[in-house]
Parts: sequence; structure tokens; C-alpha cells
Amino acid sequence: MLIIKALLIGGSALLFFYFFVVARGRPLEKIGMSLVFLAIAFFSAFPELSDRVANSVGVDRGADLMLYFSTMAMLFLCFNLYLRLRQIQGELVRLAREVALLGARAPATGPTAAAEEPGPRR
Amino acid sequence: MIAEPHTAPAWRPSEVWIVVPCHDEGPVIGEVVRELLELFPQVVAIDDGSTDDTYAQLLATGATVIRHPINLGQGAALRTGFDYARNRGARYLVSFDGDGQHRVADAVALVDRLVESGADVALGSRFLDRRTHMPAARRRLLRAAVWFTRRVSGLPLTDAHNGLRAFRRETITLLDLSQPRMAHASEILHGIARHRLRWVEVPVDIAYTDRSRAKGQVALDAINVLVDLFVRRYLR
Repeated sequence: MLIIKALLIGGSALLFFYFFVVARGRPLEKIGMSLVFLAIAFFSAFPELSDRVANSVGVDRGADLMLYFSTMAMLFLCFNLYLRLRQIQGELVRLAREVALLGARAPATGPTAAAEEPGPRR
Repeated sequence: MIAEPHTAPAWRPSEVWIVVPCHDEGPVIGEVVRELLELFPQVVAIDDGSTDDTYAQLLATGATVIRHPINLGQGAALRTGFDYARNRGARYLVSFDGDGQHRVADAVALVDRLVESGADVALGSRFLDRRTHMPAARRRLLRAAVWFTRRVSGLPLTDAHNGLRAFRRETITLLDLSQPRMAHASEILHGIARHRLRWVEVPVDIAYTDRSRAKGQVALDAINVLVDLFVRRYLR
């Protein structure tokens, strides 16, 4: 019992340190994730308290409540990552298009060169 | 709509830019672009990260060539071409598929109709006449897509997802396409509805070759398109 306690508390302390101190992120995300890790550490230290909290919200065991919450936190993280990925994809498309436009090869002679009319670029 | 016959051409080829997105079209792209150049002096082809010799073929045509360093999707290629053409002072812009299924004469008809009618956008339609011969399965699928598109976009269209379109410069600025992949087609329709743009449909012929059939959107893609249309209509 002691070993798992030490592992859980140590692990969440490390993750807390990472999320709160090292990782860059939006403040709300930071606070939210830090709260989750603090809660894990706290309930690992005082498991009997987790049962009481669980009972008060209609769940039998504290461990079950933790499982539900960690599942939610995991899904939230996945969704966040998905949004971030889409944002990065959008930026990649813009970047690649800009690069492509810079390297445009117009025919040396012909109407294109004559109609050259530099306008403001969006 | 104004339907007066015109004696002098209402537009000059130098006002038009043809935008040709292409991806792995090496065997046909040279011919497609050269045919276009016979009637339209200003053609910009966007090689969307092809892995074959599309880029080399394009450079030999005398068109303006832009190469995406990676494959970004047809929507992004169109946007790149439109941006380039607008910066070169294009007044009318035509999107023309690079796989050889569109006809140059239809592009001319589209610009004619766009200019004559005073519309903001002219859309090619395979179903306004019986010219286009397509496989029965594809016809059924397209009919269903048209029905759905009409319901969702609120536009009484006769075709859905036809890549041959003509726009006025201002229309392109207004539409501000951002969907990189195939969803740009529904994005265009959504923009037409949202900005209450004036649109006309023009009968066009699509050549269904084995090649274009093999490359065309498969039925499963239709699901993505439908979901996309749905999301645009109801979840925004």
C-alpha cells in the first residue's frame, strides 16, 4: 500500500511541477491540470477521505470516483490536443502556400509579365 | 437576369485568369494547360505536391506555375491560385480541374454567362442538358448529393461539386476560402447563400475517362462532404 502511495504522490508531484512550472500553456489549462494532479496526490495520501467525497456525490467507492474523473480529464486532454493539431494544420497550410507563392514561376515573356500589377498581399 | 445578345465580346481574355489545381496529373496536365493557353493567355497551375512529373510537365507549357512544397489539398491549391491571380489584377477567375475532364469551350461559356448576366459567380452544371454521359452509379450518387446540397444550402442548384466555376474578383475576396481539402466546394455554396450572391448555372460537359474516374472522389468521400455541409448549416 505504501509503495503505490509513494508512486502516485511522486508521479503527480512530478506532473504538477511539469504542468505548472515548465510547460507553456494557457493559464486556465495550467490551473486545471495542476488541480487534477494535486487532487490525485491528496486522495492518494488520504484515501478514506476520497470515499467520503464519493459517497456525498452518490458514488460507492473513492477509487471509482477517481476513475471517472481521470477518464474525463483524459478525454478533455485528447480534445485539447485535437484542437491544437487542427490549429497547427491550418498554420502549416498558410505557411506552405506562402512559400509556394514566393517561388511562383511566371513565363519569361508573354501577357503575364505585361499585366504585372503588384497589389497588396493578403 | 439580362439575356441580351451581345455583338462585341463583353470581356477580354487578358482580364481572365484560369486557375488549375493539379495533383499527380503528369500524363494529361501538359495537354490540359496548353489547350487552355490557346484561348486564355493567363493560366496559373498549382502543383499540389505531386509525386510524379506534373511540375516538369507544367514548366514546359508556358503557364505560370506554383508548386506547393507538400500536398495541401485542392481547396488550398485553389486558394493559392486565386491569391496569385488577384495580385496580378485578375478581373474574372475560373477554376478548372487539371485532370482533363473539363472543356475549354465550357470555360469560355462560363465567363460569357458571368459577364452577360451580371452575376457574382457562374457554376458549371452537368445536369442542365444531357451532354455528359456518366456511369449510372455516379449519376445516382450525384443526384443524391444534389438533393442534399439543395436542402442544406437552400440554393436550388442542379449540380453539386462541379469544379468548373467562374467568379468575379470581388466574389473571391468575399468568399475568403479557408477549407484546404474537398470541403471548399460546400464552403463556396455556403458563402453564396450567406452573402446572398447572385449566381447562374451554365451547362457543361464532363469527360468521364477511366483516369478521371479512378481519381475522382469515391463514394465514401461523399460522407465527409455531407457531414461538412451539415455542420456548416446547423452547428455554426
